[in-house]
Amino acid sequence: MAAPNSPADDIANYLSSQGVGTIGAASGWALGVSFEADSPHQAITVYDIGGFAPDAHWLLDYPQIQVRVRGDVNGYSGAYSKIQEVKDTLLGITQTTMGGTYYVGILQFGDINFIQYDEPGRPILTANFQIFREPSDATNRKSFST
Amino acid sequence: MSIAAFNKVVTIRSTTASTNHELPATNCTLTLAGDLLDDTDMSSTGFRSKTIGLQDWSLAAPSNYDVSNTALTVARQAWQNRSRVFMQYLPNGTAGFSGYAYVETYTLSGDVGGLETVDINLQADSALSTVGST
Repeated sequence: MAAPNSPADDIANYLSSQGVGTIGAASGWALGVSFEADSPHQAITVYDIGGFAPDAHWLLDYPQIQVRVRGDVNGYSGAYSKIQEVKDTLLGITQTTMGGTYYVGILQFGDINFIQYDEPGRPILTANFQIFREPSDATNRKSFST
Repeated sequence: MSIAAFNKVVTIRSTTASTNHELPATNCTLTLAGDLLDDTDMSSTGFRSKTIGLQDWSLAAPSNYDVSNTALTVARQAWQNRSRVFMQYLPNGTAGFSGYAYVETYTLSGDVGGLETVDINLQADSALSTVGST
């Protein structure tokens, strides 16, 4: 079996499938993983930010991700609405498989944070999520479903 | 040599089955106990003396709940049927202890911010045997 995707990859693809943004778009809400391009202004970027130690016996991981939303110049309301949409899409999701990995659940820790306006005046907001997921493959670990 | 606890395997099966199933335990405790009786008498010389009476053992296995896990089904059905199970507690995954027990409690719970869990408690109904080299 293939190694599991990074949680940020899976989540970005899921957000894309739910119409929250488009991966690599040149205009509109562009979705990215681990790198925020300078354009377009409207950007949703998903980062892997560690999380808690994975279970050493069972196939159960506790990674965390951060979703960072950058809006249009002086577009705070639009940026906030978009990150709210991200929150509503991910938080409390029912069990689902993304990229071959079984996602048990997604929680949010803290709520939406306003970070700053960048140099051109684009608002940046973030939200952090706790993921429970069961990879389909890991050499030394066992599945719960036995 | 020390043993990393993540190597531990805890299995159960019904007494009519031959296949052991691993409990999805995230932390497991096997307690060996005995009644400590005071047998001090008039011949004792200044100090109390004790002896061990009946011995007992129990197993506590907090586990993650999974509807497709066979061991959890075995435990729940044993509780429902008031029947015994055969359990093995293997600290290094291959050697340890075994015995027959009843499922005293099977407690499902889960916080909204975490995973659903089930706490299983077994109470001995036999001597505790050794498995392999302990």
